[in-house]
Amino acid sequence: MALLEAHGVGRRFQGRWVLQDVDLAVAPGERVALLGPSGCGKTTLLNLLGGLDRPDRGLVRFQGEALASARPARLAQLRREALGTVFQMFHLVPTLTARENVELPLQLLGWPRPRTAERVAELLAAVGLADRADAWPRELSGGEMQRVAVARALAARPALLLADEPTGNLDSASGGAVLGLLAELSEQSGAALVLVTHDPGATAICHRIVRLRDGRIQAGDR
Amino acid sequence: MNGGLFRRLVWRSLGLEGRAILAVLSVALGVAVFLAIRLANRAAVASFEQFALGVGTGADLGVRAEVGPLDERDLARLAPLRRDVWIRPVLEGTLAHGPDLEAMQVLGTDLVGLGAEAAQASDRSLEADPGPDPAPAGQPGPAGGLDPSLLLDPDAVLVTRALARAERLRLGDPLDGMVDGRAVRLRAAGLLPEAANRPPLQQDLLVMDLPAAQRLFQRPGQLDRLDLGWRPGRDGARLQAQVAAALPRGWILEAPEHRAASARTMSAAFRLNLTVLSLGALAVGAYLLFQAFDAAVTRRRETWALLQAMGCPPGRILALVLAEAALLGSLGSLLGLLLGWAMAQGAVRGVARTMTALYGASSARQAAFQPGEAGIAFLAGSLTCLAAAWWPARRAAATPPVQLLARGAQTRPMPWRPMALVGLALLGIGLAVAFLPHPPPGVLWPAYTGAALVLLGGSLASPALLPALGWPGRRATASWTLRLCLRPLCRPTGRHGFAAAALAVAVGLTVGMGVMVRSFEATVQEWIGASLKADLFVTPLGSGGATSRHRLPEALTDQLAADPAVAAVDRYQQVPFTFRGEASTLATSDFAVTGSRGHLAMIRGGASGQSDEVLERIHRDGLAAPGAVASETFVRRFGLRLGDRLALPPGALGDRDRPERQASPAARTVILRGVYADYGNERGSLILDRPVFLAWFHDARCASLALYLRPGTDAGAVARRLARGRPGLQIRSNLALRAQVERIFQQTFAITYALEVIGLAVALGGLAQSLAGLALARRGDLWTLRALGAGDGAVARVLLGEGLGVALAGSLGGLGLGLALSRILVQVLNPQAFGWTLSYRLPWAFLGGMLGACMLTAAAVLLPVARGLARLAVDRQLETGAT
Repeated sequence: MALLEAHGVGRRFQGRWVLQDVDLAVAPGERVALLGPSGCGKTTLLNLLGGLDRPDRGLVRFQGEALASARPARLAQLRREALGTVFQMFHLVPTLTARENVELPLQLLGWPRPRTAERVAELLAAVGLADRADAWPRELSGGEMQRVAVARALAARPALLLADEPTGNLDSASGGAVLGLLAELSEQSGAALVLVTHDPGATAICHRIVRLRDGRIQAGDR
Repeated sequence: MNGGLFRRLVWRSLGLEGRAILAVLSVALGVAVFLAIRLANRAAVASFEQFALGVGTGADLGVRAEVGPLDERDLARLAPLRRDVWIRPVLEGTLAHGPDLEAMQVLGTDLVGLGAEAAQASDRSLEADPGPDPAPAGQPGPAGGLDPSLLLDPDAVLVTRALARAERLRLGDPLDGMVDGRAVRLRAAGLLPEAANRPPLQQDLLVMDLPAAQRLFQRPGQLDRLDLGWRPGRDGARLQAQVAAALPRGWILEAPEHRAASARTMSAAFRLNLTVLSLGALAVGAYLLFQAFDAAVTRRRETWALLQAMGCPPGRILALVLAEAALLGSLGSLLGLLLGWAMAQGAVRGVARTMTALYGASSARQAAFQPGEAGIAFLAGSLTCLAAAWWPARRAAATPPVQLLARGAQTRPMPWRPMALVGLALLGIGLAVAFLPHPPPGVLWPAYTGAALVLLGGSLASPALLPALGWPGRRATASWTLRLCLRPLCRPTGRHGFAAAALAVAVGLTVGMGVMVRSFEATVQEWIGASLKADLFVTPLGSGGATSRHRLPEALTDQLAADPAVAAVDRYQQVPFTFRGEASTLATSDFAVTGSRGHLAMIRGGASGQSDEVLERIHRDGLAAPGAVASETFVRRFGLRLGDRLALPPGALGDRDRPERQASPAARTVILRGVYADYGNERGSLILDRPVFLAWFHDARCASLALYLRPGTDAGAVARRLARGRPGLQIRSNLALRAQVERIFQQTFAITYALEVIGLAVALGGLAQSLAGLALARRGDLWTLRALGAGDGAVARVLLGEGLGVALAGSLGGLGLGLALSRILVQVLNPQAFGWTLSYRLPWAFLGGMLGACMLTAAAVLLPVARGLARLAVDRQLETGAT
């Protein structure tokens, strides 16, 4: 069974359809790249797949459950337990250290302190920031901030990882390192990955590429 | 809620944000003002109640005359009941003491009976103190056992421990003062005992033996009241019926609590108005807090969106924001309690002065900390903070995260049109509710409800002034800087709207209060000018306040009237009386003189406000068809109309010597012929012509005299001559009395002026905060302008123009709101609360000053901010993350 399915999904903003007739399926553990130029609807689609937004047409199912009809509390639960998101702008909480940012999802799940500390230490080591655990976001470089964001997204061992242009604000070296981490850690944890990017080079870590143009998936890509 | 989340996301960030300090200070100031007024009111009314009550004597019942004093000879009627009922006669007066001639209450009572009862009494104050600590050497000792020598010395008084300490009195020390214009010297002969389980006695209480008091006040055979109590084991209900049956005509029963309740009721409207006004600071603070929390939520929207994206339930986000509000509210309220107690010490004197001027002596000097009041103030501050944070908290929790995380998300314009419609509707409803026709006197809820609706409606409608100012301005000018600074006004964001609304509320409250006070001032000045016609005014030295007991004896007034320089004398006397079960004032004046030479500002009954025809008619009718005029307050209070026949109670004095009065106790009825304006007595007065008053009540004393001199006489010289050899008289010229009356009215509004200033300070502080926030929010635009080549001056002008536009919109909105509010205060609240009709006057200088102060503050805040931001290097944009 597909982990994530989108059937005939459409989304409209201010009278204009930014997505139309999108069909997509993602299997467990699969890494899929959503590739397209700026403004083609990639981020909109990602938000719909992650339950952050609701489609105007069609439906999105995650683990067999329709997201559009799920109550807000159920969506929040899914985002806590089964979804992780990495943003282009990192979105680290500026008043929390790197360690505390990674702990945030686990606090929301109510994990006990010892278990939280162990998991966070493991993740920070995995992304190569064990020695920067107590640094504030303003003290980190862009690449380091994104690595913290990756660690945070994977903290609760989600079934699905969504990454919205994770390397968009990074130089090529840092971006490459982050992509590598995403691939490695999602492989290790068994999480599926949906990666939004406009950079064809970034798709190298993915099993499949889905191309978007003007809000539609191009023929042959599903 | 997860304590770790709160600690990390809320607690930690508070220390980094100056707005947290501002929020705490806003709450603190609002709570402080509210608590200060509440504590001051409490202290002043407690002192006033003590004055009105006399002294707590543990009585079960009281007896007094419906009009004037009791005749001591009639006590014999109650003699058969003395086996079951103890009876304590009381005569009250005032002694003007000290350099400020402060009123001290003098209580004359039966000290012999007091000593006898003390042996049996178990819980009565004013009984002999069985065993307090011995007084230090030289200090007045305790009054244990009541030294019989007290009864022989006519000048001996018992003083309170507090007074003895304050004046450093030793046994036998003199206590000098003025009574009825006569210098007197009393002697401190002992301490009043105070029971541990009763409220402390008021400091300025003096107690002396009854005969000595009657001599002191030159009121032989007169009493003001009787205090009665049941001896142990007696049936109170049965005894009360027996007492009622035994009372002579003109005597009435009264429960002791009734006097205190009357005292509280009398000043209730005044205290309620003060309390409501004090809430103004909290109300303005609430808007500022709303703005601060809204800005905080907006600033941290990424954090809230991120939490939602990570699956944090919206309820937890709501709880986090509200927890922050609760923390800030609590901190602010605690600080406010401290500040408020300190401010109360200053406020209490102002409140007490007003209470003395309007209702009677209140000698409160300090305000005690009251846990109950502190609790109310704490709750008010905390709840205000929570209420202010509620909507921003809901916004933080309810907005879908995708909107907040979108790159380059813009702040949405506020829906000012529907808000303005709702606001105008509320304003209209508020005015309609406030001006509901014919509410009963003293019913204030329509006025307060209407005022609250007007305030709310005005605050919602004020942001509509932003596009109203912006659009025409943009069309009218070709200047790009002006167009740029007006653009945000054409599509105002929530931040603009709240800034304008908060300023409008603050300005509105200040304007409303200011117009009311100045209308009152103008009305009173007109009234003083029209009413005070005499050349000289004579009162006993130390008299003042609504219930002064100082009187001029008849012999003295005859002497003054016979002076060759005096053409006419108007003798004014007033006595307390009960009308339809309520305490009021019965007064008398020489209508023959007042009608021909003086003036009463007639509201009804005279042609074009002239009193002469009404008073002359009453004088002509005399006892054949007795007439009266009543003050507006009296008429409103009792629902009277011209032509009504008013039944007056019989006087308790004098009738026993007039068998024909005893034989035919026909009711004394007067016809209401006119209604006059009187802003000096909130309880209301009914005035009879002097011949009628003398015929019925036999009281020839005067509270004051108005002397009309012969033409060409030098008033100053006459005043000096009359005062020679009469040190107990205060003789004032017309101008001097007008000045004093105006001074008293200024004092009564001292607290209101202070509240105006505080309200304005909060408004201007909030304006500064709002405008600084608006300026900082536009730094991205400004840097773009600089990157495009705009000079520092042009950039600064853009910022300045926007801020001044917001300040102008808020100020104009506040002016409109304040004028609507002032209509309610002047034309509804004052008549309903106090029974006074005021002329509505617009103080243009005050209004202009308000507008000027707001614009100057705006400019003073914006100039340095604008200059600073305009000069900031473009590359700082990258550092600070501005887009």
